[in-house]
Amino acid sequence: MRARWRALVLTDPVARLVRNAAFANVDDRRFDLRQLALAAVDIAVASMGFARQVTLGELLESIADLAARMAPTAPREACAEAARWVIKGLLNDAEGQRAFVYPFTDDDGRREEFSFKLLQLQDSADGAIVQASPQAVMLYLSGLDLDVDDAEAAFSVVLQRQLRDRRFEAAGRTAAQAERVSVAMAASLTDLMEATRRDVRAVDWNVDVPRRLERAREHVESRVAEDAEVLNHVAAGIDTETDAGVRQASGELVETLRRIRQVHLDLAARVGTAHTVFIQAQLSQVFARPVHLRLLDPEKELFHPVLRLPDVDAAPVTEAFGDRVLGLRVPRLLHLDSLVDALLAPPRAPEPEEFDPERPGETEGVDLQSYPPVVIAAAERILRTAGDEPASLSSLVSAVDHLSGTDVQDAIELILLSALWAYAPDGAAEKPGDEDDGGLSALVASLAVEHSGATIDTPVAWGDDLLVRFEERETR
Amino acid sequence: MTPEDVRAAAELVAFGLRAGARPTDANPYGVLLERFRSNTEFRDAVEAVAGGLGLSVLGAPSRGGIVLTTQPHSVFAVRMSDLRSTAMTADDKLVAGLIVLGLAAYAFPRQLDLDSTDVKLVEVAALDAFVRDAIEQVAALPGDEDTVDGQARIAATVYERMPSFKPKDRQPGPARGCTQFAIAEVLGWLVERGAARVMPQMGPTSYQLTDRFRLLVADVAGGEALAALRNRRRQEAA
Repeated sequence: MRARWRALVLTDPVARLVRNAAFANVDDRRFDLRQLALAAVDIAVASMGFARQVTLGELLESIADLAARMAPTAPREACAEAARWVIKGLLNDAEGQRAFVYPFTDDDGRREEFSFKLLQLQDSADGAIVQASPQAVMLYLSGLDLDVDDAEAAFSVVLQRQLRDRRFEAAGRTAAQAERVSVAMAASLTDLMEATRRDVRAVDWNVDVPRRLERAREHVESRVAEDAEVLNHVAAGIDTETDAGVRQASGELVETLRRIRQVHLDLAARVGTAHTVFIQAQLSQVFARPVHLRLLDPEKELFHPVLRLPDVDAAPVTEAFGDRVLGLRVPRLLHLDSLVDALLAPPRAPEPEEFDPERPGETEGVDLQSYPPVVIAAAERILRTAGDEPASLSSLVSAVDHLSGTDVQDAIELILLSALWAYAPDGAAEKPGDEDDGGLSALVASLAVEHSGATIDTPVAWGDDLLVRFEERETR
Repeated sequence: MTPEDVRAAAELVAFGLRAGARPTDANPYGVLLERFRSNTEFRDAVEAVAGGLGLSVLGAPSRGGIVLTTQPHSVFAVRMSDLRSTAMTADDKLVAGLIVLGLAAYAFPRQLDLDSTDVKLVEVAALDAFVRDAIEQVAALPGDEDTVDGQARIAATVYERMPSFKPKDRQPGPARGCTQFAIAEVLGWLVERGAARVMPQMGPTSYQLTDRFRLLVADVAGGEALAALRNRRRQEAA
């Protein structure tokens, strides 16, 4: 009874997240949240068989993609929200990501608590990675409260019987289940290795782990041999089979069996490196600082008492705590190549920035550094005069005569900058035409500029004069 | 120990000072970290270099990297109240301190959580609700010698009286002067120190605490805050 009750309880977090979806504005009629939750567990369990486990960001992305396939017309944000809701439910976010706790009462009225987690997060270089708990592995195995070794052996027997009876479709389903068991086995072993890496004493390397490794080794050995036999049997059957349906089912079965063989070979590699993990973990941890028990309950011993202190007495305690958590700051280092960028960058603001509110009448997208169209047109007209024969930059500058006020200065500046840009293009700058700049890029691209040997002396530019030629380019 | 070893030790300390640096199996940080974890002489060298700079090595989890903290008067030490570019009032400082403390209580609700490497997600509004729930809980408790209800303002009141959310003018997010703004500010400081990461995939105000935060709370901050609390009780008894 207890085992069946546990298998039943494992699905309750999924049922709960579906029940409460409406409170989070997630439409459970649009998205099949149960399927999304099972997919999340599947991805987490399957990734534990690989060298790099799935990160929280990747898992969210995958689940949002699946949600988008369920509801192709749904906005992407709604799919992402559904994915977030499902992952939060599996992490038990509503209760501070603590374990799910369910009370069990036996026949004699004795109560006990069954607590478990489904997904857990661990820190890694790539961000938070998602780990599936042993209970999540059970959920992955359709709630089977079985040792994974026994489950796989059972599937093997069933598979052989189905093949003998030529029930290929049923055999395909059984093979798929067997594949899941193999993946679960790899995940269990990964969990053991992770626990060893964290604390070698957390796992019994004297008796339990060597026994499990030995079983895994024997298991892989026998499975690989049996799989090869089944594979040959089915493959040979395909050649002689005339029924198209049976041929297709057999072909799919062969694919599944090949994948299972690969999972077994991966498992064998994992078993082979297990001892190295153990030795390395032992070596690292034997030299580590002695681990002391951290008998601190931050909530009951610190947070609640401090909340009840008078503010003047609470301040030294909260400051002592905050200063130690936040009190390491590295002076900002400047590199010569980034100095200019750093000086131009806005000052660092440790607190979230307050943005000035938008005022009515403000136009979005106005580039304050752009030239007015009238100035661009005037500059282009003057530069085009160098189309027939090259003109000196000084003569082009002095040709700006009919404009007034700041437009004169802008036009002179634009002509000078265009000539300089054409003379020495900035390689790091965006390519002409990358953005809408009022035709400036095209204008500059039409200029051919070279050193004239004369000098220019105007209030805004002096030094070597340049010879400018305007060449009309064809517009593509 | 050769000069190259000392240089390598200093490099590892430098990696520890970079909040964004992450060790992997193959990168130089990961190689040095593994050496720290498996070679006592090298570990001593790293601790000596760190000590000379006014730092202490708290731990070296393989995934999170070396975790450093400051010794008193270290050139790297900074007070929480100096982190804001503008001056903080006494109430602002107290609220910020309560938030860091509340964050630790939220992330490590039981003693054994401080020994677990599971990491937690934190959302600004959820943390605010947690702190306000705790204030309600302590307000419901009968008074004891720590409580001076009615005689002076208690710390919980300072937090409680600050509004939870004050909208910005025509912008999303909380404005200065509410507790959600203060929480976002504290979490921003933690991100700068590598003790948290932003998690935009989980929501615009979601963060993930790193293992570094756990070590800082468990091995330094918790002890110092307890000592400050005991000190205050001793003074009251005297």
